[in-house]
Amino acid sequence: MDKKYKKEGFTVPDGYFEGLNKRLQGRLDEDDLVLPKEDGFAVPDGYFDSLQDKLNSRLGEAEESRVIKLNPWKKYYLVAASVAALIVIVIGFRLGQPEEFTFSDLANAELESYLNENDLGLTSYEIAEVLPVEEIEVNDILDNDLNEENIIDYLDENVEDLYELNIEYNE
Amino acid sequence: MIAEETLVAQLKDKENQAKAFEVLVNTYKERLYWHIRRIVMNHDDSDDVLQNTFIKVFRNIENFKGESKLYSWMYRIATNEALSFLKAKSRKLGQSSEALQETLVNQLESDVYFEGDEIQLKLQKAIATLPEKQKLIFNMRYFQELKYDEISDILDTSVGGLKASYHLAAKKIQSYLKED
Repeated sequence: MDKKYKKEGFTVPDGYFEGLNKRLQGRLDEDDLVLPKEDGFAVPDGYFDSLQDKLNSRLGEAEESRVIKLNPWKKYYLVAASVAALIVIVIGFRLGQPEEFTFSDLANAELESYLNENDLGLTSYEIAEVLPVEEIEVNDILDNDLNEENIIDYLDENVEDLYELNIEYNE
Repeated sequence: MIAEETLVAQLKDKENQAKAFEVLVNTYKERLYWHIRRIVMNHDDSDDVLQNTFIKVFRNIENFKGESKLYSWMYRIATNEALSFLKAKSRKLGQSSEALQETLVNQLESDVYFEGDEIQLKLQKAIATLPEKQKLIFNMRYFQELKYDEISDILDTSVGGLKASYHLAAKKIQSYLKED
């Protein structure tokens, strides 16, 4: 041991420093597990070369289906335009004859629009008193265009463990 | 190698989109494939997820604001697509995600696209026992040799947290491999 350290009063066992290197090496060998650098996964021959073509055809198909969808809308517009024209003619005809205008003559859309745009000065309680609640279901008020896949996707993103929901799977 | 800003600009431009997409696919397909493969294990599933990833990148390029690197953004999409795929698969099979991991890794032995030896198979089995995030971090650091900064961008986790996770993952793998 170096003389300068003897002044502090501490001592070490004989041969301690000489053997230190060997002991450290032994520990490093034990901890140093050699892992394979390759994971072992392989791909079919030519896989990467064919990828672009597959992507192009998928994007091409998607583009075609978007184009096709435009046509039905044209037909709907034509039909809607014809119906609107008929309504105008009928209303014009009826307006020529004096008649009492009743609630049933108003289209639901017009009623809804009126209720949304005008403040009736009614509280929720007053409206609830006249609404026939027993006969109304949620689907009467809300459009339910959720399909199962959308529901599952929503749950997937917002629920950590789906098993908490106790969903039964039909296999 | 085309500059990232130029590539993104071309991808957003209808005139140059198709050509730019080919460059994008060519540049990143292998890296993204192997990243996905290490998550979903099976080649056919990896192919599906990789294609979905590129389609999603193409369709959402307008939403890429350049706040992170293009590569990090794509890697994030690939990771999410792969993890969603696994969740859907475990739901379909009625298995927990842990059970699915075990199933997938056990299938490797008979998988014609797994050419690993005994120790490589055992390593995959060890990795399969890790929690999802640790597994991701281990694969990205050990096999892909990504820098911690890059992994931090992709997984939105601090470098310190990543180092801790990696160290923990490595220890668990070592313990697993030492067992007979």
